[in-house]
Amino acid sequence: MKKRLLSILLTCVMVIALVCGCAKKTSNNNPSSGTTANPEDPTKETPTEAPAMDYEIVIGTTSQIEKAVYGEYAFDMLASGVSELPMVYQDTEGAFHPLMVTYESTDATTWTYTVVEGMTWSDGEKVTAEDILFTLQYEDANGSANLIDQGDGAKYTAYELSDDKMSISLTLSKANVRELTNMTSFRVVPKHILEGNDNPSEADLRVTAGPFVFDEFNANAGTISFKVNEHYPKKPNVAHITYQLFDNEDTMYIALQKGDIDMVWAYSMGVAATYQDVLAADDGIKLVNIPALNAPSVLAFNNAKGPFADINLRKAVMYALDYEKFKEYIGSKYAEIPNMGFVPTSTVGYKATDKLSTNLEKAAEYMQTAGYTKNADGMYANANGDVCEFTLTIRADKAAHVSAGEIIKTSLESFGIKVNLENIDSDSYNAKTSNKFSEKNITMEAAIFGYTAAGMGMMNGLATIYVDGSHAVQGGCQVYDDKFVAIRDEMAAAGSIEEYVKAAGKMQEFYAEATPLVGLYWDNMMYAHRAQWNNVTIDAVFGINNVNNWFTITK
Amino acid sequence: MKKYLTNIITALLCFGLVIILNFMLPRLLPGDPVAYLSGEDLTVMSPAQYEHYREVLHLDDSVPKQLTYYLKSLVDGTLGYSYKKDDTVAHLIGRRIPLTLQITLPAVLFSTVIGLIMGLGSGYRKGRAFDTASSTAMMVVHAMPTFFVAFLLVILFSFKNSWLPYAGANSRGVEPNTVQYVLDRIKHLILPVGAITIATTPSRYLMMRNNAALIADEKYVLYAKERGLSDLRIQFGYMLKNIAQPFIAMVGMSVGACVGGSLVVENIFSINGMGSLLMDAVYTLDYPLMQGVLFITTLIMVTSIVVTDIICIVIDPRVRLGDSR
Repeated sequence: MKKRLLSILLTCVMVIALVCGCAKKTSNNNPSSGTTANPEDPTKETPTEAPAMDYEIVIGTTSQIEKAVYGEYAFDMLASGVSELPMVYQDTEGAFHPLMVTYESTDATTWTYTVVEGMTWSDGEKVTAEDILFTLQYEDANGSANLIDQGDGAKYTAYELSDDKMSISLTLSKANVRELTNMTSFRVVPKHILEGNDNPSEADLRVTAGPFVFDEFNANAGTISFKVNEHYPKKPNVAHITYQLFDNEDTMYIALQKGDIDMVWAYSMGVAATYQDVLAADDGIKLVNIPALNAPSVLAFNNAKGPFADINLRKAVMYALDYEKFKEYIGSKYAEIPNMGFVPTSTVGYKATDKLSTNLEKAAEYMQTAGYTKNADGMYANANGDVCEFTLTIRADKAAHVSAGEIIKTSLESFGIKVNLENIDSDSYNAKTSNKFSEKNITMEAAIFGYTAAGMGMMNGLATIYVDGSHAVQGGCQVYDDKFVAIRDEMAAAGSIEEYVKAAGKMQEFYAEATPLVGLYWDNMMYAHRAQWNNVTIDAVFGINNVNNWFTITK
Repeated sequence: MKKYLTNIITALLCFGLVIILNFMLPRLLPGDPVAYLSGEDLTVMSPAQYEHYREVLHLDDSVPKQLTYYLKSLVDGTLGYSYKKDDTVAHLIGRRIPLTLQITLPAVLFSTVIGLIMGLGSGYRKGRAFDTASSTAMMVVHAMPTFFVAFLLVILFSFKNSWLPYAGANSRGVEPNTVQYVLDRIKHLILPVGAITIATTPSRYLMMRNNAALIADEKYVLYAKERGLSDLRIQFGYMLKNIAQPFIAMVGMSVGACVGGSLVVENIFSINGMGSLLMDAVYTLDYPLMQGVLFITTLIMVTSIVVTDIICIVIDPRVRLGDSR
């Protein structure tokens, strides 16, 4: 017995010794193994600074990627910054610039795209306009919502290829001065690879035309790496980019602070509000702050039926809300109180309108005009004694929206309007708030939405798809007002950006006047990278992970 | 004996019930089962896609017929199809489960060995300094949530001292199927295994310690001491046999629980195991995947319970011979 125990103990000691011995050595190419230079630890060897044009960058991301091929949404968003080159890009000022193609349009109806000279697929084939046409057909066949018109009818009515097959003119069924918005996330696929190929291999789906080309996906190491595409017409400053996939945001930010990764990125998301102060206090990290194009939390009223068909009630609620609380409890330290015109300042066509503010006297006046007076319990009631109340529909899986609902309830009930919170699953929510899934029978009285930058810009922009009661998919606010329709049509008919901006201004004035919806706060998008990196370029759509960044970044 | 046979039959009945519930859940939830079973967002689905999903998911068939299709997918081993991940659930789980087992099985083993040896020793010498110190320490650790233990290890061993890796199951660039690869894998698993081991040892320790303390003053133990037998022989040769059953049952149950229960640790260490797969399925509302993970977890849980009961029958003569006496 003793001998047996002794041998077991001896084995244990050997295993521990083996394990400890292994732990002393670390791999050089693993960012998670702690071998990257740590500026806070002078005892560590600092790697020699990479010569220009030969940087290696490690980006931490919480994107969940399973296959790392074209068609996997999270990978497509990640690869749009390196290998899957979008047609154009939008800078943080909202201006568009050529990327894979140059563009021109004289009437905003026919758009001509010309492939930039030297654009070549990673297998050596030239990129042509036929690839663009094929991609439109391929996307259509594969059910992508990207280019499918969400109204009635086809989006394009005609196309024409140039003789040299390097340009394509696409004619829209109606003019759209903001058509390039759709092209910022439109990635062309190789016709010569995918045409007639019903079962494309992983290699087929990784033939791309960006400055980088897929190198390796190591699921066990949780890394995806890209190397320079030798066929790309320009050489980037960065030779190799590795994405370290983190399941846990906390670990990722600690890794950034430690210097194991160079920057953090997640599509359409900036640095989490909870980490902004921590990172700002770290000298080894630089934060880049840009105004966001989305509306993270919106109180949308049903303007057609229910209590909020009365504009006085909408106005009363608008004035009774405490906007400081949304900023304080939900937004980041850079959050702002929105304007009555609803859209953030960085939106194309933005027009300054009055800031939202709490004004209980004005709110009380609107309640009186709506026929409500306070009862003995301090709640507003109509002539029949019915207390003014409404149901606020919220998606239960959106924590920030649930919090916003609680703040709305607290503000309004202290003012005298009863709020019944309805926290429901996404399908039930869609069935109450969307034209498509309610079969044009939206039943919500009011709901909290989060409008993405893409949704805000869709079709006529300025979040009109969410306001317009006739929109085929959204239309949550159920606005059918003649004035709104006229301005919407004016925006749609704009033949130049000047005309569009003029109409957009009118739309924001309409929002301020009619209050079909209320933005609860605007927030900024913040990106973080290690301080040794300079000349970092940010893109309005893909943030810090964008193709241009790899040509400007220096150490 | 009868009691254990009843337990085994109950476990198998529960397994059948879980299968039925697993099938019914997406169909009973409010909302459209197409959204649940396809895992796709209805707001971006075209009418043609919607119809396609209804057809391939057999949602227009009768419920018994749908149940037949579901059972068939369990029998043929595909466990359904994840449209969100565009793969069979069996493939997805098959790719992830080895990593989870590499974390959970060593953790169960280590925590069992540590809990057993320390608990037995403490119970045998109840009231002494070692017992007081170890029991207090174990109770403190027992109160710590697993994520806290994991982060503590990460901060100590990875961030303050760059001794061990904290992300992934391997380093990039290490050639698979080499000794270096195996060693690299072991190095990556030390912290996750350590975190689960630390988090699960106290419960095992406390159970073993309390049971050992209860019988430490029994006559047969005192007699063994009088005979001059060594402490180790008394503990492992006499006491353990009498208090092993609840301990084995506890360890057996924990094997099943660990398969789905390493979720927090896998998340912190970014290890693509079953935990992260389940979390991903929940976040993306991928019901077929959730059903698959639930099925496998239940299967492993039921199997471990049945095996545990069989072991109890085999090792305890009171159970084995109970019916014939």
